[in-house]
Amino acid sequence: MRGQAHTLEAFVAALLVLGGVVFAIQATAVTPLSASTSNQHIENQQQAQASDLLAAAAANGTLRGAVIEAYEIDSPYTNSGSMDGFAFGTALNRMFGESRIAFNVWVTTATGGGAELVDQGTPTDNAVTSSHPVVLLDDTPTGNGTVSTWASGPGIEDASPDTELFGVMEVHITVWRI
Amino acid sequence: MADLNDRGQMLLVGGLAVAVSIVVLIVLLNSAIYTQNVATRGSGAQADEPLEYRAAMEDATAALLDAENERNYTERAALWANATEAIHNVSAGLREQWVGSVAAAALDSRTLHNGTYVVQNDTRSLTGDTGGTNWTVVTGAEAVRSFELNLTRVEGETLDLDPVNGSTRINVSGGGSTWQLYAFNDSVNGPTIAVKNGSESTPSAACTFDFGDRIDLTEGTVGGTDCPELSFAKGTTAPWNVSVTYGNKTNGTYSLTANTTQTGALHGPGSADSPRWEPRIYSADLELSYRTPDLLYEVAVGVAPGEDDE
Repeated sequence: MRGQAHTLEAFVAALLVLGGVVFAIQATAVTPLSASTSNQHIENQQQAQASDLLAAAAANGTLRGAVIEAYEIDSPYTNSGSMDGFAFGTALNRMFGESRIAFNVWVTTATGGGAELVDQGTPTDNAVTSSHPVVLLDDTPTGNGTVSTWASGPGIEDASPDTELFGVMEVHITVWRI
Repeated sequence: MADLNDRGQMLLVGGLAVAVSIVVLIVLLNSAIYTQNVATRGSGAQADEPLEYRAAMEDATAALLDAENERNYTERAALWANATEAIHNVSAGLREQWVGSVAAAALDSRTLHNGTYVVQNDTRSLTGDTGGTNWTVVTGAEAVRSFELNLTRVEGETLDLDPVNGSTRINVSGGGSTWQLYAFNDSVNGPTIAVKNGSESTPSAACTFDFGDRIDLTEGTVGGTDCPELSFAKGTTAPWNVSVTYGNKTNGTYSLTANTTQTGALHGPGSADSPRWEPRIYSADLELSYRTPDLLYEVAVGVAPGEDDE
C-alpha cells in the first residue's frame, strides 16, 4: 500500500513539473508556427493578399495608373487618407489600410531606376513583399499627355525608342502588421 | 496522505492523475496535428511566378502588336523589325525582374505571321481600286477576322443570280466550295442579307438591316444583334480567297484583317484612297520557358491581337 502511494505521488509530481515546463515554454518562445502576429501563416496570407491585389489591378488596368502616379507625384504618399485620388490607392486602402496593415509601394524599372508611391515607414522583420510586372506602351496616357513625353525626365527613359514599347516596370508591395 | 490505509482517497487521487494525463495527451496530439497541417501547407508560390510571366508576356505582346499595327507602316519589313524588337525588349525587361528570384524566364522562340488589313473608309461603291465590279480582295488567307461591312445603298430586288439584275455578293472560296454573302433590297422587308453556305447551291435570306448598321461577317452579327444564319465561310476550308461580284450595286465602307500577304485590286499602303491595304502582324506564336532549380515550365502561346473582340 505504501509503495503504491509513493508511485502515485511521484506521478502527480512529474505531471506538475512537466506542466510547469510546458507553460514556461509557451509563454516565452515564439516559433514560426506559434499563434502571434508574426505567424508564418499570417505572412503567407498577407503575401497572397498583396499578390492578388496586384493581379486584380493588373487585370483591370489600374496598376498602370499606379505606375504613372508614382512618377508624377513629388513625394510618396505617407497617409492612407490622401490616397483616394487614384483607383489603385483606393484598392490598397480597402485591402490593407482598413485592416490596420501598413504597406510600402514602389516601382522599379529593368534598368535599375524607380519611384516610390507609398512610404509608411520601415517594415518590420515579419514584412512580406509581392511584385507584379507592368508593361507601358508609348501611348499610355498620363495626367498631361502620354508616357513618351517622360523620356527627358530623370531616372526614366524609353527602353525601346524605335518601337511602341516604353518600358517594363515592376510594382512592389511590402506589407506588415503594425 | 494522512492515513495510508484510506483506500478511498487513494483511488480518488489515482483517478484524477489518469484523467489529467488523458486530457494532456489529447491536447498534445491535437497540437501535433495542427502543427503538421500548418507546416505542410504550401505557400503556393511555385506555380504563381511562371504563370505570371506567361500572362505578362501574352498581354504585353498583344498590346504591342496592336500598337505597332496602329502605326500604319508602309513597309512590311519595318513593321516586322519593330514588332520583333519590341517583343524581344519586353522579354528582356521581364527577365530582369525575375533574376532576383533565381529563376530564368526566357522567350525561346517567336514566330510572327504577316497579315493584311483591307479598308475602305470612304463611302463609295464596293468596287476595286480601278473601279472593277468583279474583283479580288485577298487570296490565300489562312484566317480572317474583324470583317465588317457598313452599307448605305443596296440594289437588286431578289435573290436572282442573273448577272444583269444581280445584287452585290462577297465570295469566300476555299477547299473547292464558295461561301457567299448577298446584300439586296427586299421588296417587302427592305435591305436584307442572304447567305449561301459552301455546301448549298442557292442562297437563302438571313437577316434584315438598316443602312448604317454594322454587319460583322466574322462575328455573325447585324447591327450588334446575333444573326444565326451568318456563319463566316461555313462549308469551306482555309486558305480562302475573298472576292466581290457586282460591287457597283452597293455603296458603303468595310474593313477586314486577313492572315495573308497576297492582295488583289487594292491601293497600296500610304495611299489615302479606298480600298487600300496596309501591312499588319496577324498573330504571334511564342515559346516561353521558366526555370528554377526545382521547376521547369514550358508553354507555347499564340497571341492574336483583336481576336477576342471577334
